Amino acid sequence: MIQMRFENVSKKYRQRHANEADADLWALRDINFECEAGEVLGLVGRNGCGKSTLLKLAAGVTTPTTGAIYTVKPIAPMLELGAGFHPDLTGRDNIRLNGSLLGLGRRMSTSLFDEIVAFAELEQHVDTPVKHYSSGMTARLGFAVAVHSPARLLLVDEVLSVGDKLFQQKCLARMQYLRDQGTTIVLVSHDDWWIRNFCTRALLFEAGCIVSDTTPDEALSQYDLHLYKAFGANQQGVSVGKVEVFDGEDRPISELHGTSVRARIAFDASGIALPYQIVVRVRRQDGVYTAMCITEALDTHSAGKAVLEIDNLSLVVGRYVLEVSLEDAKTHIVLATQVSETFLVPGYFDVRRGYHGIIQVQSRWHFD
Amino acid sequence: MWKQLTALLQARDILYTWTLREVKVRYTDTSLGLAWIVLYPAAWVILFTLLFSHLVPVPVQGLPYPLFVMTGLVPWFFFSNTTSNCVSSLKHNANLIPKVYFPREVLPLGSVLVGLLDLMFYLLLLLVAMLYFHVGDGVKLLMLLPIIMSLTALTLAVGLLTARFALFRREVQLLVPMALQFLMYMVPVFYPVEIVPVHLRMVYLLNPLASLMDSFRHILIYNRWPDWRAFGYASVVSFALLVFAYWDFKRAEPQFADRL
Repeated sequence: MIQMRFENVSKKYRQRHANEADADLWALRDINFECEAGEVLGLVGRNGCGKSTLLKLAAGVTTPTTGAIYTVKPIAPMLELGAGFHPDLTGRDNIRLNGSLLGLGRRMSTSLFDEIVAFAELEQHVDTPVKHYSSGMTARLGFAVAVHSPARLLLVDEVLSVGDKLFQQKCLARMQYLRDQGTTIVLVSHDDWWIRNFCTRALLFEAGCIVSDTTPDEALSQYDLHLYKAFGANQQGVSVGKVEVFDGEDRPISELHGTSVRARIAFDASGIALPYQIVVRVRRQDGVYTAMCITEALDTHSAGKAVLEIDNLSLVVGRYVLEVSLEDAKTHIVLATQVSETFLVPGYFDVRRGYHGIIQVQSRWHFD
Repeated sequence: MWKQLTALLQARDILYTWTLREVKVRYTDTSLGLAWIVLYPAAWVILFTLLFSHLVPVPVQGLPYPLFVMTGLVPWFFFSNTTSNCVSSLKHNANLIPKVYFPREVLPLGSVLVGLLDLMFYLLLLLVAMLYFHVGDGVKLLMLLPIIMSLTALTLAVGLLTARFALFRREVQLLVPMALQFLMYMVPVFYPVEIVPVHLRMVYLLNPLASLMDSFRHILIYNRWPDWRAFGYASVVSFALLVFAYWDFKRAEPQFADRL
């Protein structure tokens, strides 16, 4: 069942300038997508690319300039935790208030109320004014109310970093439960982990447009590529050019058979702060770095090609890239970076089991 | 507009908790607490009595002046306090409006409901004073109900309009308190309508608030029915203004979040 649909949605903001004429800013342009029940949609992209605007439109707090939006009701927007909390009122009063905003109704049952308090771990403080809460406590309370609302659509904007590790585990479990109940969840996060492990699908945004609608892994690697392009493009004489990857027989690879890899790297370090190092990292699609090769500290300005030979790259099945960067040898700050085309290490992959470790080992079984 | 009213009806839980919140917030953390609600009008009654009963006497047809001025202050407090609360009702919730959708009229409406609660309490004080001074007629007091309804409609209309315009034009927030101060002299608070020259009285009563406040006083202490034509006119204007204000408010509502 379709829970949310955007049809040719665009949103224009008017930017006011003190001295010049007003300028129009298209925060979103021609957005089209649909979302099914139980889908978890991740929104990925740089700051200001339109992700939050999309959530605001979905929440109905602002209207699109053109196009139409359909969403199921009720919606629990978690654009900010504890929006509407009043500092002078107690946790108890604020739960009722926030709950009514999220469609829980003021005649919320006591069992649900207790459940919310227990989830937020605030049993001791429920009659304390919220202004005496720590920021973590306030955020936990806001989160607890939102995930106990009867929402069929949950909009989450970068609020998952609240609480300690244990609380985050609880958030994840609760959201998985909601998803399994058929709640559609839309998630904005700059934390790859949430996008990769929790989302079933991801939209990549660039300057207000959806540039790709695909799996979380794929969206994240495209996003990385996009980031690298944006990175280091602004400095003269500091860049990493094309990174070509070959196998043991010097053929360009898209699939790796064997364990020998050669990489040819074009770089320009003529304008760089000395000394610097060239660093090559082998990165798997899920973001895990499996190997790293570093040059000595180099202290001559140069530009040209470097060749890296790796003999024993025993990788498990998966997609990989080589990530090449120029780094300051003293501070290890990345000055420029680039990634190669992806290549596949073929083999049997069981989705439910996930990745099979990091390195490939030779192994035998014996039974007595 | 029908659809919007249904949506508002569905949001009555929000309205209820919001109004409760406003009331609670007001009386938590003030050392005098509930005493404020008595001290505030008492201070005004004393001031006006000193000024217009002793220094510059105002003719009040032999009624005790404190009682007279109370019948003017009660509706005036309702109107002016509610209006100034409404003006900032959207602005003060700038952190909430862009984050959650709910019918925005809940915010000014909440201010009006809080004002109504105060009005009820003040009316109670007034009735006690009337018993003390042996003034008033039981049957005519029923007429208070339609007067208060019209007064509420007018106040809500002004509240919706000012709240919405305060978002679009900064000056509104500065202008409203000033306008209210002027207005206090243009409605019968501390003087009776009768001191307005006859040939100007028509113009004076064109202001629906002046009409309603005069009717209010007539019922309570002059023991006379109000001037029906003036009251009817003021009620029609008030409700028509409310319909317009609500329509205008809902029309502007989609832009609220972007304007904050």
